[in-house]
Amino acid sequence: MSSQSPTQHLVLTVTAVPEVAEFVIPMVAELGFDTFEETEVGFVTSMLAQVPHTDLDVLLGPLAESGMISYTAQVIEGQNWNAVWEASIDPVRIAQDCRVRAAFHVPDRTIRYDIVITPKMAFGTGHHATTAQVMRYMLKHDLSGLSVLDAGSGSGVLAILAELQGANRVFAYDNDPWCVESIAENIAGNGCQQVVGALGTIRTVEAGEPFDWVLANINRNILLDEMDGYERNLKAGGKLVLSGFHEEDIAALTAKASALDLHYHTHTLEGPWAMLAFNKPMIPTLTNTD
Amino acid sequence: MAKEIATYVKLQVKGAQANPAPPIGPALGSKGVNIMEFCKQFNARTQDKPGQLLPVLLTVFTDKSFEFVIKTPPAPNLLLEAVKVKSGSAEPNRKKIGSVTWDQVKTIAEIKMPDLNAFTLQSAMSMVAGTARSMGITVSGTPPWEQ
Repeated sequence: MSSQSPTQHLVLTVTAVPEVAEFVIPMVAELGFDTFEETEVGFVTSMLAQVPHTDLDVLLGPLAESGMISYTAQVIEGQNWNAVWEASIDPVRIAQDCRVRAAFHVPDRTIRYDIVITPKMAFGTGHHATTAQVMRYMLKHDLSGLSVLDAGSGSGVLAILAELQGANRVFAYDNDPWCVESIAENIAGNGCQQVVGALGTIRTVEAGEPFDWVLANINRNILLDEMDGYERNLKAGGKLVLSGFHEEDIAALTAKASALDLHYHTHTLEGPWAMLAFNKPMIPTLTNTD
Repeated sequence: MAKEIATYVKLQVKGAQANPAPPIGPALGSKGVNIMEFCKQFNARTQDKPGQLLPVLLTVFTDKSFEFVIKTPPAPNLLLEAVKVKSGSAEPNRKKIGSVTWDQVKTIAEIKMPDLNAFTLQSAMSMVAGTARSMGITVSGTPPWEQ
């Protein structure tokens, strides 16, 4: 595996009094900077390195010359900023027969599915209700011999559980290069043979034949936007499992699924978080026959 | 017993677009906070405001847990949107970058009311108009309370 960072970030540091910083922030946001940390002396922002420095100078040069701000810009390599937290995690017991742990925890052979995850900024350690709910749903089913698509797979934890439960073709993709590295590492860490990882979105990846199950733990807007893609990648009689949204989003997601002829099966709740499962009928429900 | 506060982090994040890149990654990661947990929560709570820059005040506790509140968008962001210009003026008193109406000021003041230190809509409107002027945005016409 390459030791090179999968991302580069243009970091802009601006020194300005709060009254000036507050109107420089929306100006800079127009260039594509999307997140700002307000500090004691100004603000820090960054984006994936794309904007030429000259664009920055055109925008900020006059402000700097007038003495209102000073600024520096530099390109830095991405790194695992979540490392401190990741080093402090405890194993998570998902169910009686399933646990997620880090590589530095002692293996427990008495647990049927003792999954090892090195997240490296990829979502999915099982600590979050959205991940745990999908895993518990999977554990109630027999996946042996099935094919599973893990959309927006993060650490790949759902794909790995699918293979450990007997799935014989598993495809996991994410649009974040960090996650794709993480998937590769976690596939190896769990001795998985069937999981294939890829970089992209449901519209760009080549996942192959339709699947028996499609899992997507992302968020409401992306699920609404991409659900037709999940449906296309689902076999007749297959199952779509959605997570990563709040209870109040269930109605919108169920309406969208219904329009795609996916039939509500069940949902679970944990705190504000919800999970939904749908069945694709063996024979399409005939509507609007004219 | 109340949890002990370790520190605060002030952010502005586009709705539904929080990610572990800088500055969120280094700012939270160095404090031992689970960055992915923050991003997942923030994005789920802001699905109705995609792309809108939202101020976030995050409280980090000594046990590495955290809480955060999402505030209304800053007045300058709303004013810039209102005048539909790409930038503020580098010389606010000399170079005017656009103008807004008192109706627009009122709309912005109404959005900002929950976060402003103002008891009446009129005083909120005065504060928003003041921010506009300091950015080089003119407020056209006379204030409604002087008409």
